[in-house]
Amino acid sequence: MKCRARVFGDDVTLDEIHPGKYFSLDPEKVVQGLMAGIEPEFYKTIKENDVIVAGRYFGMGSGRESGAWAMQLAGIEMVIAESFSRYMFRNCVNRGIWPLEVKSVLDKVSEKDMLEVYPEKGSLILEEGEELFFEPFPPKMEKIIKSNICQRNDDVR
Amino acid sequence: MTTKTVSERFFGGEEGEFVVKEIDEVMLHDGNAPLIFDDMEGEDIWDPDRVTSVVDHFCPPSTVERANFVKELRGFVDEKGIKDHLEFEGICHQVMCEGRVLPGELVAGIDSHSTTYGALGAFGIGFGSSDTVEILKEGKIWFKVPETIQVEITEGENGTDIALSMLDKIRYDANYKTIEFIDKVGLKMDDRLTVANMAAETGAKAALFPPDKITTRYLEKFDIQSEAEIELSKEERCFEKVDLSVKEPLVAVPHKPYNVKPLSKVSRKSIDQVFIGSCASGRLSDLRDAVEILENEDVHPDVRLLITPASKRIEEKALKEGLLEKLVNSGAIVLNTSCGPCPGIDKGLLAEGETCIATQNRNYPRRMGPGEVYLANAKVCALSAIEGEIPEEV
Repeated sequence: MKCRARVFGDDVTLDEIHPGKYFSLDPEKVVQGLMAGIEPEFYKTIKENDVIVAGRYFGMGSGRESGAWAMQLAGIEMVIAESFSRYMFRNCVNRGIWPLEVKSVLDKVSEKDMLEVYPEKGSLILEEGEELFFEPFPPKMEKIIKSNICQRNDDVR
Repeated sequence: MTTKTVSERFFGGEEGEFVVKEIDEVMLHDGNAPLIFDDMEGEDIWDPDRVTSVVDHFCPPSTVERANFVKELRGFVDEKGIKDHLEFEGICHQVMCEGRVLPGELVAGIDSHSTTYGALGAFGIGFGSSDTVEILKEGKIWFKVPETIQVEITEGENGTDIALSMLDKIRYDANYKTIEFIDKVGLKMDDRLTVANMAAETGAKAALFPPDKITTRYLEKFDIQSEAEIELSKEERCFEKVDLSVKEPLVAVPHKPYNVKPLSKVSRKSIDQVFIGSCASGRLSDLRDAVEILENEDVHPDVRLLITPASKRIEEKALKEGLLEKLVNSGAIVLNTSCGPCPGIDKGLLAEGETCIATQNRNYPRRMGPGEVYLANAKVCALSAIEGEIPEEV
């Protein structure tokens, strides 16, 4: 899919991705918290097909699923990072968001670059045309992301 | 036959393989459980007797919204037949380690510091809310069999310092892996709990102290006899091995737990708040350390010293031992057992420009409010409270 990069740095913590004060069951409040620890009102700037791009260990710290939920509510379908915390990775998978691990992506992508990303093929094409490759998900995991929660145990079997 | 790692034996697959494994116990807390209520509507829990529910985040609640979360959790627990529901009894990870978690078990917690259960030789693994819903319905969940990293502790006695040394060396390179500790020192259980808790900051999936005499003696306090053994992974499997030898107190400076320096290299920074507590600390050995420094001394007039015992059981022991009386006499504010200031929930947030030194596990930007947080052991924190600044030595 064609998408627009919204770029953050290395070591972004869950407390920054979704500060505790936005913890709520009210979707409107939850979405307002997205990336608010770094950029207040970031959610207002999100356009269709925006994806988050980050460096190492995206989502370090807390396992609160509010971060992935806020992304889901904001319509973010992919997070592309050099690595993820295991909480952010699993929470994204369970919320139907592709957590794509792409080496040195942060060096090559700037804010609002237009990208083409094909998760099933493991391919990311940068604005200037260079193609980066990454390991696609095993089919079973792909199915979980696409099914967006539930039947996970059956899928893995 | 190849030599399997502890994790391969435990999960029943090879490193990197996806497997489904049954869960022995589940821990829910009020801070994250509200996220599962909707998905659990009309669903039964596979075995409510294996579930513990803890109110520790909003304890007592500081807003009406939080009071509603706690009320809903009580309703949830009643409806689903969960009998083990605890309020004002302690911080979730501590109460789980007071007679609930057993060596060799697989314990799923709805919290990232579930690695704590590794102090007792259990695979304590944290999950988000969607995974927890699956676990509650099915009693099992998928895992990727983790790689291994071994951490050998050869010198040092304080859990916080050993944990900070581990973070200094590993940073978050234990992400997705199991840490196996080789404890050559014979750490006290309180210190093991701190180390296993803060292993979460390395990204580890689980962090195991193989059960030994120290584990057995600790469990006997709760009338538990356990003979579970864990044979460490063999070195021929070529995993990373890290040695920890702690010779002096360490400090994590803002804003990451792995920004570690020896205390002697940290500048004498003025302090507004000191916090001894959180799931990483607030145990008897931490309180005793604090008393050792604070007895017959006064907290600096410009400093607020906040203390939360890790559980009611610990609070009662500290009362009996006279620790809390001494701390209060020195000017400490003893808060009820709860998460409190550590994640910036309530009771002890920082103003812009303020600084806190704490025994907790995280010092992320804005976690405790806009101020900055240093992490150190209870003695360093107690001395900071007296001097009003971070000391050069203890």
